[in-house]
Amino acid sequence: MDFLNEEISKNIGFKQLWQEIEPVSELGMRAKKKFKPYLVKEKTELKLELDKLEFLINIIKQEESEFFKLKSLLKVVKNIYGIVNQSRSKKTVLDDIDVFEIKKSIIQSRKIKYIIKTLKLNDLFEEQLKDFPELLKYLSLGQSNSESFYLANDYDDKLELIRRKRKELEKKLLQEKNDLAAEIEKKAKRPFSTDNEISVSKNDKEIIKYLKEAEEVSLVSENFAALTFKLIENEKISQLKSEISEIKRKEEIQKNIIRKKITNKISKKSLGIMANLDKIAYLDFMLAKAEFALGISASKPEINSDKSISIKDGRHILMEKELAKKGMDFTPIDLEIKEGATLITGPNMGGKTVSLKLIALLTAMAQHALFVPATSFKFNLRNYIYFSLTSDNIKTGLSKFGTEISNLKTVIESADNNGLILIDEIAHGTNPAEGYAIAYGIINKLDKMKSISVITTHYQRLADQLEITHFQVKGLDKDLLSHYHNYIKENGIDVLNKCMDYHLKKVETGSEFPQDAIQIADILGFDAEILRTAKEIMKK
Amino acid sequence: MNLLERIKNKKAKSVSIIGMAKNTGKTVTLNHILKLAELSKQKIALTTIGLDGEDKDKVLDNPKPNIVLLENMIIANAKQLLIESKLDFKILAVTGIDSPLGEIVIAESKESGFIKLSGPSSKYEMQIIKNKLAQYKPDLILIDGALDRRSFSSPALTDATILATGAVTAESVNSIVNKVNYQSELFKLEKSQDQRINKIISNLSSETKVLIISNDYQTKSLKLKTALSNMEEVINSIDSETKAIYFNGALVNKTISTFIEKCAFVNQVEIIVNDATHIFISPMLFNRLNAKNGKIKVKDEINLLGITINPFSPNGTYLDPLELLEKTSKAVAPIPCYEVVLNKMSSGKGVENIGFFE
Repeated sequence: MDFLNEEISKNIGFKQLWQEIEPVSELGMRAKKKFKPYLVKEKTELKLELDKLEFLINIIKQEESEFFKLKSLLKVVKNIYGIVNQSRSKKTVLDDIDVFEIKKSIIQSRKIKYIIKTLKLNDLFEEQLKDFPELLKYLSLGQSNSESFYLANDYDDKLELIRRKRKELEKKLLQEKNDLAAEIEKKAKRPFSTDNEISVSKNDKEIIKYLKEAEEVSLVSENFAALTFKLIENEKISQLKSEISEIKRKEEIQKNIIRKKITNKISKKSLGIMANLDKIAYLDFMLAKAEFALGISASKPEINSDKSISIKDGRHILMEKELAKKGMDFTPIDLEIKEGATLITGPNMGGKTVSLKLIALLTAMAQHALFVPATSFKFNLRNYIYFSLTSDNIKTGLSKFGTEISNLKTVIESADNNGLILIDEIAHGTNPAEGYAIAYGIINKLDKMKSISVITTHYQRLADQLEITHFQVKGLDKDLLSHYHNYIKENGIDVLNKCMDYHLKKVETGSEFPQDAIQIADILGFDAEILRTAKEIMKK
Repeated sequence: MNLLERIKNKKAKSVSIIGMAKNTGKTVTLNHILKLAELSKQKIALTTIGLDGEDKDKVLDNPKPNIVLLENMIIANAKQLLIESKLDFKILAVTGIDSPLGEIVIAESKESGFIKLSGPSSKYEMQIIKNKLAQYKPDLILIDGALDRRSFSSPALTDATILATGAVTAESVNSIVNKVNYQSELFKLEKSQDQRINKIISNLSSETKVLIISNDYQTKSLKLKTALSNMEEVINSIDSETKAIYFNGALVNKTISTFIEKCAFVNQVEIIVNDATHIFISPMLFNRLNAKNGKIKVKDEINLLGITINPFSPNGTYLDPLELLEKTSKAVAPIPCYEVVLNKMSSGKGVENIGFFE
């Protein structure tokens, strides 16, 4: 079983939160993509990771402006693993742009290393980023230490010779052409085109007369409005041209020899360069996690050694945002659960489902090495999180109940593998009598297995009969209810939430059920006789 | 005044060259300006608007590199074309902007030669590239652009624009002149005189498709995919209190004809588009709108520096170049027109030679 499947991740809100963690660089995004949550056997690693995040968050709080600098540096770091890998292959030669990228990456690493040092972030890494002073010097030959890259003459005497020769030839060619063309260009009052042509309007009679007589050009085309003359290349010019193209060919060969040499030098440092990239990616990813934690006022999860989860003032961030839009507050939830089954009961709209999602979300966040939105969260690592999704599964044509049962089958099969099993409205999709019986069976089984299971239900009596931990949504607050009595009567059921206390309280076996439904009916002015009968039935 | 002198004269630091159609001689114009720059030792930075996927093959199949690169020029070009050119380059920067022919790279040429160019394909990316090129302090940034509904408007990004037109755009000299005259009329369109409207529009996100602005500057954004197919819905949102309506996209015949026919407030509402290259309405309709006192305004004005004409059409037509030059320049005066192959120019008062060696 996966730690958290896609659909559950979406349903509990983790997917959306995970998307809000945004490393600024391609590398950081890559690290995030490759990230896998920590499982039970990686407890020590997770602890270390959370410690590092705490360390980073504390420094960010003190040095915000320096972090801004660091982020703008990270933003432009590119993912050049591909290029570095190419340098390692014997067959490929890096082109000038690839070499430029490597050089730039070395310079960036150096700058990032410096900031890491200033911010005293060294403890984040077992090994620090590497400098490659010799390679950098080599990649900067003949061009100071700027970030640009050019195959300068300093790389190779032969290249210098070839280039000097080419320049000489080009100069000669220019001179030769100039000797030939200057007079004509002057008389024609225009330069030759890129094709060595001059076109003249028939109105320019004098120029035409001159050009027709000039030995250096020949008439190549004529129409009703214009004549075109082309420069006749003398033997010297064609000789120079062919020499230039020959020397250019040599230059290209020589350049490739140097490129091979450069590639080779880079390949020798390739592992170190890649290790730097890994570290930069990690740093960027960590920064994103830290900023996320600061943004939602999260705290560091604590890892329990006993198999329990305890939440103090836990907040479901997405729900909190939704409520804030409507001007309402999220009621933080306290909860303590342990291996075996725990039951949550309470009225409709009382937040039972939200509590379940919160447990799943905080656990998922913690195992992704994130801080969590709670004043305290102590947990024990899980190998998977299951959250029941009872929405009708149209694809397989199964009914709500059928879907639930087929999902639970898989879950119960792996329930001895330290899971977190959360079931919303157990056996809700079938008739009450059988539903109750099946729910009883499932909870009874889960209670004996090596997972932490939390089940919400309408079947209040399940808790008493099974003798398991039982939480109840506090439900309608009597004082508030009498305060808002008339207001609710006038404005209807929609304002009832003002009176709802979403806190969970632990219920001892044998205590009385709150009769919220009857109470609500009463407030809404329901028939008195019906209410009386209902209350009597409940007593029995 | 030759084109480069005119650029200097107007103090334009960036110029886009756009063609009214393919084969209007845009590349010849570009090479002409590069030649002028070489003679006056100006440092040029150059890029071109990019190609979408389907045009990639066209570039690769075109056997001949066509742009003359001078030594020490700064260019923004797709990686593949840069490497293919085998010219000597210093790599200055990479941009992170991708194209079908690889990332756009900023490089400085260390020798002269011919090259094919391909650059960024969105306005946003071109703005980034332009800013990058400016970092190397060239005397002039040239953008080889297009006047095409598919591509973005490069004139809006540059201080000034040169328009290339020619025989390919119409059958006769007169109809070419009419076309280019109409185009230059469109390029004269101005911003709204109401600064508050201009401010509202300049602050809009590119997501806004249609925006209605009322007399008291309340705005209403219409969530339409295109204004084109929903013009009636747009018109329903216009009332006696509407001051202006902004279209983010192309203004086409149907938009304006529906507007003229169905809207009762034609003479009171300003229609605002991003810039004149987004207007594709016929001259007749434009005149009808004017006759009804309708007004089109732009978010970004275009500064048309000059027009180059190409008397050749690929179908074999060769029009009288001097007649075309003179008639065009009379129509668009005082904007100067150039026939750079024959080295002629005109500012509406006869034809003269382009000054090269002064």
